[in-house]
Amino acid sequence: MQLGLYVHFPFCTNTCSYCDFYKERYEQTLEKQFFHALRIETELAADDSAIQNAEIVSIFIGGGTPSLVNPDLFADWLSLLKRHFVVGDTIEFTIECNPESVTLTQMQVMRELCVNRPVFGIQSFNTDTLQLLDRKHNPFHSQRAIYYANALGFRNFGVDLIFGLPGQTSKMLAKDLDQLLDLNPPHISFYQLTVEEGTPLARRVANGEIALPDQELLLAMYRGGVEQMSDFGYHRYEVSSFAQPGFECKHNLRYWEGGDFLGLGPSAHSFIQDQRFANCADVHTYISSLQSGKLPRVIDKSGNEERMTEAIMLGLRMSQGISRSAFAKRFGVPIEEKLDREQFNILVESGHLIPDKGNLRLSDEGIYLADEITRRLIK
Amino acid sequence: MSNLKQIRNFSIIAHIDHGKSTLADRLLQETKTLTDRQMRAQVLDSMDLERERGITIKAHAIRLNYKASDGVIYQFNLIDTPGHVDFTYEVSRSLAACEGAVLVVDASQGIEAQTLSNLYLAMENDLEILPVVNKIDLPNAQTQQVVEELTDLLGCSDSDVIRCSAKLGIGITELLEAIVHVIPPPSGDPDAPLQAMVFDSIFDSYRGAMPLVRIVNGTLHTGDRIKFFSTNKTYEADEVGYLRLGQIPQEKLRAGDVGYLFASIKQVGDTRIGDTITSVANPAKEPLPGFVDVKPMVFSGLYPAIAEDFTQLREALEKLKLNDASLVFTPESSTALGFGFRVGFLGLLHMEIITERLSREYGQTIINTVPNVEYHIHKTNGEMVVVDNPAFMPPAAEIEYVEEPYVDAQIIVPSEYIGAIMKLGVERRGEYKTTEYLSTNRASLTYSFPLSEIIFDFYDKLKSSTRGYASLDYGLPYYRRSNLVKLDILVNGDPVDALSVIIHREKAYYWGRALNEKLRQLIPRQMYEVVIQAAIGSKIISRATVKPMRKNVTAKCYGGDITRKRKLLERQKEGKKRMKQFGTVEIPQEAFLAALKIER
Repeated sequence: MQLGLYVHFPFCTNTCSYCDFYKERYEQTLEKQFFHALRIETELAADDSAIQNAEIVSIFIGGGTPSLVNPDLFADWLSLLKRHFVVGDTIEFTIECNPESVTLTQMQVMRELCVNRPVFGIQSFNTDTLQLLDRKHNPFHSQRAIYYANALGFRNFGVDLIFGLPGQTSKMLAKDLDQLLDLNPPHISFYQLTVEEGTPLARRVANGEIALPDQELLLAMYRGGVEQMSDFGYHRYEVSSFAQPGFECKHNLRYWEGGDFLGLGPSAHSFIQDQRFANCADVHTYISSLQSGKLPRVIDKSGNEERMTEAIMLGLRMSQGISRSAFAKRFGVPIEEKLDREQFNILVESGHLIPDKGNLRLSDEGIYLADEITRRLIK
Repeated sequence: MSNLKQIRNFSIIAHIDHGKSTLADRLLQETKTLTDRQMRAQVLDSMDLERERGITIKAHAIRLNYKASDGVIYQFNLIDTPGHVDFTYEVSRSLAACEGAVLVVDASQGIEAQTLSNLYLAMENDLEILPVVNKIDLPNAQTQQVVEELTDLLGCSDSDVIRCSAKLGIGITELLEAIVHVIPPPSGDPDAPLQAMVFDSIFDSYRGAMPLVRIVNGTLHTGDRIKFFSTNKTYEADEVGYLRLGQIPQEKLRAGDVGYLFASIKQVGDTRIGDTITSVANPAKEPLPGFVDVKPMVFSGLYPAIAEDFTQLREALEKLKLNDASLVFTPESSTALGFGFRVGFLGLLHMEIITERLSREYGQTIINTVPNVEYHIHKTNGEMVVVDNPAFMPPAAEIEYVEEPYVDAQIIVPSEYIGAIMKLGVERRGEYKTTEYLSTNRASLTYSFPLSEIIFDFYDKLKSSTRGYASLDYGLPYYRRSNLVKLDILVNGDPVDALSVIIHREKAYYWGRALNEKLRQLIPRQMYEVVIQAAIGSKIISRATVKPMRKNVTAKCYGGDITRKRKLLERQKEGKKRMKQFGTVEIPQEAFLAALKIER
């Protein structure tokens, strides 16, 4: 069995205004306890008969700010992982980095530990924008981080760029993209800002302090971005994911194609043998639970119907769409049976949905409205 | 107690909130008809809804025994009447069962429109009027002034008016004595062929319809074969008796008596109010006068919010029909709302009560279409068609002219507000008739209004433009010619039948524009542009658009986001059931309800 592995490193030195991922303020002692718990979790997880002797085919260290990690603790955990699972030396191995915390030494250590895909949370090259997001880095940090990645010979790396910020114009975005494309990153995650409930940004929007761009502008920005990247040889393979040929993120594709993955660390989600489960989103509970020998998991009690809904919802986000044969093979029914016939016809007629023989996919126009289309299509 | 001389049959009539129910309570208490434990506040209003709204929907009749100062024990039959203009006919039949009426006026409010209309109904039925000024304990009571209004109105003397406070129990004994002395005993021949008038009917889930009757002539025995004049249906009288808090069975009811009857009658629709019951063995030659087959005046389409609930809605309506003879419904269908019913109501209050009971007692979520009256369409080919649903309005080319129901209305108001009434009258297409002064500062205005203009929000308007002082009442409708058109609402070029209305030509533009604007706000952005138009025939009179959705896609959807996003989709899918699919457009049910809130 093949498995993707996600590890949630739940520490940051700073809280970004838009972030709703689970995190705690970074502390060395807490980090130690976390790694201790992570080791226990790794061992307990490996005992699970469902994934025994599984081959890990991708690793993704997310967070939080994984670039803060203590390399010794990380290396120790990694060797423990390799004792319990088959982990090839050349698999895709991603770590998320905040530009300001990237050092040459640390990147070198990571490289020695087989990490081969740093992803830099650049978000923007505009200092005002970075300030609004409460990011602690500046454009210089971003350029430096990418310089290190190139200097150390990382053939594959990624960057994140956000658009749709309060006060942002299409011109500002085009400038951001220009600077980014100059750095020639193999992979770009190009995200529209999502105002998540409970974040400082959401509060500022709610009390009218800042206003988000309207749908027209958002669409113009997204379209413009797609075009600009396409001119430089990037192709969109998912709503927000763009890559030079061959540099698509294998780990993420696993999520979207229904592959198995194991999530370790607080708030991490797993999907194993058609079952979803999630770890509690609190590092203290996570640690104490594992210290008493218990996995801090909550199982999502959903079944085949929900799996089909997910497959449609995720599949339509990808440029390749949903493979009819893969769907039929996985669920034993043709995909059409799960779709609202009337809506299907309306959407095909209006050109949003493309019913190719092999795959069912959205057109460019369709991708912009993927959520609405999915809602209409699902029976 | 069979001596007619010891019977008094009477009603209490009053404007709403003048304290009728409290006074009835006090009479029950004073005559010890109910024990204190049985004595809940306002026992006569038994439905929850009645209690909450403080109005009596169904009439009731209760027997009281009163030992008067002359030492004789009198039998009082107190017949409660519904207190709303929707139920004028029921009130008139309840009054017809009496010899007298206690006319209650609030000492702080004076005579109001309903006081007058009820009084006229009582006078039409030749009742003896016993005037009472209530709430004399209120700090703002103007007792003497109100007494004068009453003496002017009735031509009686100051001492004939009883001053009381039902709340504090002041003047109750005087009232009871006056009932004995002022209200005449009933007449009637107990040996003549049976003539019993139905003045109300209540549904009992175990025993079927329970008509309340006044025996005008003859005697009704338990076990008699009886016949209803209007339906010619015969039954056996299983049980007769009179009412206290429950039923008290008797061997017989004689001329002059008021009581109830059980005869295994399946639904109250078979016991029409105003109908005459006679005996099969010795039938009366003629029914009693005054029976009218009451027709609904307001019609609305009722549709289940979720299509699958249609059968449940039908069952709920059928059950309500069992004890509400005036409820009329027929199945209909709408391209926008699917299958539902066209339901006829006596008035808007009746409609509100029914929809509220459907939701409260039967858990039904209802979308109702804009209520309308019944129109008479005279076609060019000489044919006349009755239209109670705008969807069935013939095309304009086939119409010679249209008639709509009008009513004569009476508005009583302090004279400083006459201007406000005049203004409102113009807005509602009222035709002013006369003004009469009840006192130096209170006037009574008469108008004729199109029924459709006053059954909706007129009363609220009236109240708000006169700081609550005006009162309104109106009589039965008659038909008059009017310049009416059918206004359609088109969504992306197709008419949404459930939003069509029949409206006066001059008001069509305003209505269409207001509804378009409301719809534009309520229809969420969709994948495609939505064009909303108001049209008369093929002529578009206003237009609004809902801009299409431009971008709607979640930016991030990784391992940890999948469950959350799927659950959101599932919730949206539930919500989709409540949307009405109209071509490519999804219309939320609020959009249909919005039409109800457009001001006329």
